Amino acid sequence: MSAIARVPSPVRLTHTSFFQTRRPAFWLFVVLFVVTGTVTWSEQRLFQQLSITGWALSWGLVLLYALPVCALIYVLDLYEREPPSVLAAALLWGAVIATTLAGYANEGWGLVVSRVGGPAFAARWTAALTAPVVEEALKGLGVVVIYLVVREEIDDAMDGFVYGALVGLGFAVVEDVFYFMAVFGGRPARVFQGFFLRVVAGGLYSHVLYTGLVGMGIGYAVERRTAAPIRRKALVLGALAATAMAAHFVWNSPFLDLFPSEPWRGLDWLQVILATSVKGLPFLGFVVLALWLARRRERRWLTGVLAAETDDGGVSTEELEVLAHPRRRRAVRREMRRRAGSRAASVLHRFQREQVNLAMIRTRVATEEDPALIQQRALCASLRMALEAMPGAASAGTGRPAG
Amino acid sequence: MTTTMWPRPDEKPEVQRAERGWLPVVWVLASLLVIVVGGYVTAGALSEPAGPPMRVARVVQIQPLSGWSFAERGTVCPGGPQFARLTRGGGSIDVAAYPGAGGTAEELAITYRRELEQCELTRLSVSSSLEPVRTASGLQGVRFTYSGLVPKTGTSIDGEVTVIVSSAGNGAAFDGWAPAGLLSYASGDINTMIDEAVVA
Repeated sequence: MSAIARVPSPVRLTHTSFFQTRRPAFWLFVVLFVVTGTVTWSEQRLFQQLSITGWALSWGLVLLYALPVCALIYVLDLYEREPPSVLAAALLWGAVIATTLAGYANEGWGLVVSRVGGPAFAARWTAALTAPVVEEALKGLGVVVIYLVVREEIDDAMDGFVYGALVGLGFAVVEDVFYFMAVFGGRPARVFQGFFLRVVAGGLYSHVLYTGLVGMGIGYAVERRTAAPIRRKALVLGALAATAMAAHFVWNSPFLDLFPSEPWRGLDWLQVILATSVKGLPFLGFVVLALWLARRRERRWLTGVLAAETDDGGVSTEELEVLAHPRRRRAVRREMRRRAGSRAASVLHRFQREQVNLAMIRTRVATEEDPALIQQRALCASLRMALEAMPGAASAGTGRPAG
Repeated sequence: MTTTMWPRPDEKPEVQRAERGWLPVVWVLASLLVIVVGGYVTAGALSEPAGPPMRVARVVQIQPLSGWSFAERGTVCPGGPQFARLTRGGGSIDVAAYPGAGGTAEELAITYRRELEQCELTRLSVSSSLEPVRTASGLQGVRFTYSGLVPKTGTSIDGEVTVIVSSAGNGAAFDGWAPAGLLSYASGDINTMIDEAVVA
């Protein structure tokens, strides 16, 4: 215990709060949030007056979906968990600012569609032609604003995905409540029907993935770890945003429309799941592939940066082998807990986190002799010593067999 | 292979660069404005008057927008008031004229509703109240919505009727309608035309 108490203080890596009052983008967020928040508040009050039961049920059901999805998004970034206040800002942008502005913007561009194509065409195509561009742009701008407020927090494509997905989740939650109350009518039976359609059958394919992909493009475009040419970054951002919009377009369009006509009975409910899968599964597969590639890229970055640290005491070759694979990291922590107790496992957890931070710091400083880098190396070395001093803990943290 | 890009030694510290942030914020704000307001501006620019104005019984004049064309003339009921119809891609507006109608817009709205029920539609369902309206050209009147069935075709339609009585005592009923579910996609044009209409 005394060994832990003597470890050097960790280097302060980043701004950990969204409240960056010296940055203009923060005030843009605040003004937009206050203005659109009043509209959102009025809308929710109206829904309450329509049916308090339906409104409460709607929120209860969407939270059942939103909380686990939120947790899943949070743990997706394996190497650096994002600050809670910034994550909350992303959620609020999607839930309050983007939904309100999208309401006005969709109506305006809907007028253009009906002006150009006439009412019959507009009835079939407005949702497909307006919402993908308008909503993805508004949600994507949320990730841009977050980047402008806390630039240090968006390091790569995976960070962009996390923030984008949370913006999308916030948007989906408020939009779902709007649909349950305004389109499905707010009666409990209809709210459950809306929940089945939009969350059970379609929740996997919605705004979370669209904006996650746009965010991934933004994260790639602004990352500082690689020296990719600007043209390539713009191309990747454009391609990912276009893919998200295309998926949103297919979802909203009459293409591949296999939905049964209402009222749904018996096998119709299965047909709804089939209909949403046909429209959404290919895109889900694409996003899973993109996430896998982003994780692989992140791992290559981590091992590349820390390989240069193996001679300086911050990380050993064996530790790096474990560190690069989150599953192995968890396995050695479990092994440590079994052999040396939960206290040792907790120290090992912190040791691994500080080694990842070492990589972050190494990327951000100008020289290998930067005081912050030296301090972080010392912290890692002292944590290793603390671990080795614990009975039964030696070697369990590296994945090496016990000697 | 390392993919690390080390900053140039002479590069200014990150925090100092981050504090300068007005230009990107202006870009974000401009983008938001284009997205939110751009549709209304574009739709307004596309709503051009097209063709000569349509007159009904020398009492009402309405200017068709591009894409809208004259469809037919007739009477709402046999021997009843004259009307003319403009139509476009599923949406239509019937303009009925009531020369020297006198009375109030509310009374004329009740008259028009009765004529719809007697001569045009079955299963008529009408909104429970009359909403006061004022057009962009300054005319005042009332508005109600309805849904019903066209007996000849069996089509369900939704409609919105705007009734105006001018200071000279002439009345006009502007009945914008479309097959069920389509009216909201036609109402932008319909309201623009009503806003510019003249009732003598």
